Amino acid sequence: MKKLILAATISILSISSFAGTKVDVTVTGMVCAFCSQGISKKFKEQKAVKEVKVDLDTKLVQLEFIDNENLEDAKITELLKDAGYGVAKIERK
Amino acid sequence: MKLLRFMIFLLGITTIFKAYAHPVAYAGSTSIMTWASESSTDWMLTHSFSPRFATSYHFMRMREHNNALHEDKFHLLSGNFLVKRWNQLESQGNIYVSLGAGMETNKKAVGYSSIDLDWESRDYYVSYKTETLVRQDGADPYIRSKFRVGFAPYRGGFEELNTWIIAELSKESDASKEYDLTPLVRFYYRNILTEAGVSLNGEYNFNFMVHF
Repeated sequence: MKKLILAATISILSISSFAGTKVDVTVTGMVCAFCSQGISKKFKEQKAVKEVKVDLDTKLVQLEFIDNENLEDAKITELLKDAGYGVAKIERK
Repeated sequence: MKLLRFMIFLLGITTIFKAYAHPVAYAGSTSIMTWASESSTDWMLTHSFSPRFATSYHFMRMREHNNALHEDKFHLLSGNFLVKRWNQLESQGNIYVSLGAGMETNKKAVGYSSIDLDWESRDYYVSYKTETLVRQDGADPYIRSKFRVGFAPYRGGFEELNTWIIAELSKESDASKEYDLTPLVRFYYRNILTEAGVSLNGEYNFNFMVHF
C-alpha cells in the first residue's frame, strides 16, 4: 500500500513538473489593439509557445509554454522589440 | 491663442497624411492601406523589414481642384524610417520620416517626402502628417498636411471591436479652400481597420488597412 501511495505521489509530482511554464511580461507602449497584433503573431511563431494572451488594460502579455520548453528573458525581450515594444518586467510563475 | 498659432505653424511646416497608419509596423509584417476620397486615392503596399525600417509602393491619384476633369497619377517607391519611439506604460509616441521617388503616368519623375508624428494612449490620440510631392515638370510642389485628434468612447480589448471618434483638419496646397475639417469614425478588429467620414465641404473619406 505504501508503495502504491509513493508511486502515485511521484506520478503526480512528475506531471506537475512537466506542465507548461507561464510567464507574465509587462510591456511598454502597448496601447493600441490594432498595432499590438504583431506581439501575438511574433510569439505564436515560436514553437515553444503554447498560448499567448494580450491584455491592454493591465499591459500584460501572458505566455504559456509547451511542456519542457521555454524562452529566455533575452529572447522574449527581442521578440517584443521586433514587434515595436519595450519590456518593463518579466515574471515567471 | 498660442495653441492656435502652434497648430497653424505645424500645418505650415510642410505637407498628405495618414497618421492613423504607421508607415513602419512590426518586423516581417506586410500591410495594405487605402485612402479614398472624391479628390484623391492612395494605395500603399508596405513591408517592414524591422521595427525601424520599411519600404512601400504607393499609387496615388489626385484630381486637380481647378479642373475636375483632370487627374494626376503617380507610382512611387519609398523608404520609411522610425526615427524615434517613446514607449511608456500608458502611451506611445512616434516620429517617422519617409523618402521616395517615382513617376507620374506622363513619365515625368517625382520626389516624395513625408513626416509623421503621433502620440496615443488607450483613450486619446493626436497626430500630424505632412507630405510633399516635387514634380520634374516644373509644376508647384504638391503639399498635403493633416492634423488629427481623437478619443475612444470605450476601451476595447485586444480581440474586441475598437471604436474611435476623430476630427481631422487638412490642407492641400492646391485646394480651393484653405482648410477642411472632417469628422471620422474609426473601427478596428484584430488586424483590420476602417475609417469613414464626410468633411464639412461634403467630401467623403473612406480608409482601409490590413496587416499580416
